Amino acid sequence: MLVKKVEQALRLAEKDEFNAFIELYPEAVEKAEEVEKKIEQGEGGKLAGLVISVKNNIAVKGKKLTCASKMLEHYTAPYDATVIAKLRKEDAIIIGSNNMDEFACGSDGTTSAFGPTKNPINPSLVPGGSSSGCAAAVSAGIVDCAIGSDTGGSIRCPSAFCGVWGFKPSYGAVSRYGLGDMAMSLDQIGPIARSLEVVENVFSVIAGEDEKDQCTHNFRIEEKKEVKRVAVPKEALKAEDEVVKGLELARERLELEGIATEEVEIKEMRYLIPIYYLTVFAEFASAMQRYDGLRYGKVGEMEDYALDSAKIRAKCLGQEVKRRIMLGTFITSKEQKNAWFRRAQVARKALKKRFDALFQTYDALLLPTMPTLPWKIGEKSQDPLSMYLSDVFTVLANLIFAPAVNIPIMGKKPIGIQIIGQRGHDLTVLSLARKVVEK
Amino acid sequence: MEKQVINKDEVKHIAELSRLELSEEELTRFKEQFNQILSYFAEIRAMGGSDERWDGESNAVREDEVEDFQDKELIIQNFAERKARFLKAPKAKLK
Repeated sequence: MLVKKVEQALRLAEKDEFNAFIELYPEAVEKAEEVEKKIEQGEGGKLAGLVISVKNNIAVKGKKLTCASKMLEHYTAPYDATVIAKLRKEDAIIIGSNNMDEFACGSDGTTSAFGPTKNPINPSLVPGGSSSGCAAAVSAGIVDCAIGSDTGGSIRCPSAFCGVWGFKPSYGAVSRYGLGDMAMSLDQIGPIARSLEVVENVFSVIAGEDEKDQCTHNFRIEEKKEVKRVAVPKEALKAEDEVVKGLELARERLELEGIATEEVEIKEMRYLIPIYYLTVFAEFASAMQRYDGLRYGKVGEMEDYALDSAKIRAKCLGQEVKRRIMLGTFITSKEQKNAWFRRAQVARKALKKRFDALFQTYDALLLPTMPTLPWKIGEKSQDPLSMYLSDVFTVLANLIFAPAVNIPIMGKKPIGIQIIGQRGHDLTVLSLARKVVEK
Repeated sequence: MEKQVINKDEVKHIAELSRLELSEEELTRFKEQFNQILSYFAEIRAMGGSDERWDGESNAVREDEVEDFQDKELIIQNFAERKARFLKAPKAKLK
């Protein structure tokens, strides 16, 4: 039974109608045989039988770790990421790695060096990014769950556009050892699945302190809190009409559960994109220095380190990655850093304070995941600012280290509604999400 | 039209610092995009609080412990050029 399920998943992934996969792991079939026996003997782990794929910026030992970039096309991961080790221990079956925006830089799945991912709901539309292949593989029913990473919405955005669940845990709730970092103060690993139950199960396995990622804490000791009041940012009502309808539906359901949903004006919403991107540019430019064609990138002969490195980087990195490296270099330069980078950090601190205060009154925030429905593939590729602006509702959770979940609300089109909670209250956020879909 | 925050020479300088060899066409395009993006981001100035310090998140620091990595060959395989167990690097020329 399980063997057949895995074989079928590998067949669909091989066909790869939506360009959701980068590499397949055929030995998953053997693992399935082994797990099937364990299940029969009543010895299966917590995730026995769950078929999983992994965003290709998370290390799977002995497998390609490309970050969907030409720079790492031939790079093999020498060890398992902590999340991979934990999934294996509980008998999840990993069948392959997923396509993504190059180095996770993108909001719609179009910046991969290996071609754009397509949206299984409508292949002419973007699937969202940057965990594009993860959400597409889950939405197409190829895998039960995919492990993505989220720096400013990269789990939640594709989940919204592909009509599936996506959870970004609190900063520090899940170890990032083995994750190719994009922006260290914002990155978090989390699950994407078709059901909330799978999200919860996988989260319970991958969460927890890890001495290899010193930002981790054991947050799960905090139990579910009773939710009475939820804030709906007024700015969220400016989203596209159909998205707002989805939000109203979610509100109604929470109200029926006896939870008050109150509109609140949050004027800081307009600063979220600048604060977020200025932080990302700086951290990303720094993280990318290691990709010099020598330490990483088996991509050509080198005679002069500086000259050849600049040539190799120019040849192997895509436009969005170059843009972010350069903007990051600019805003952290001696002459510019006070005007840009430092200002963004001070603003982030003020933002955190504002939301700490808000969470004294409200237990969570309810807002759309994306301000629009998915757009056509290629539509925003020449307009980086408009792409950045589409992250307006997702970046908040990363900036304030909060847990956030995308709830798929499927009508004719996929609409994603988001719940953001207080840092450490991951289980509260998930149980509140359940209330939205229960009735 | 947004005001110019960065000119083409500065974009060229930033490209050098970023170790990216860019074409004229890329430099022109990036200049336009950077001005558009940074003009929008300049809005952040309205948020105030310019003199506050940012100390970041507190770090949980532990002692480093040296462990022997078991799969060295997997690391070595990733070298662009190797000589036995070593990564072969080009000569570093001084300007």
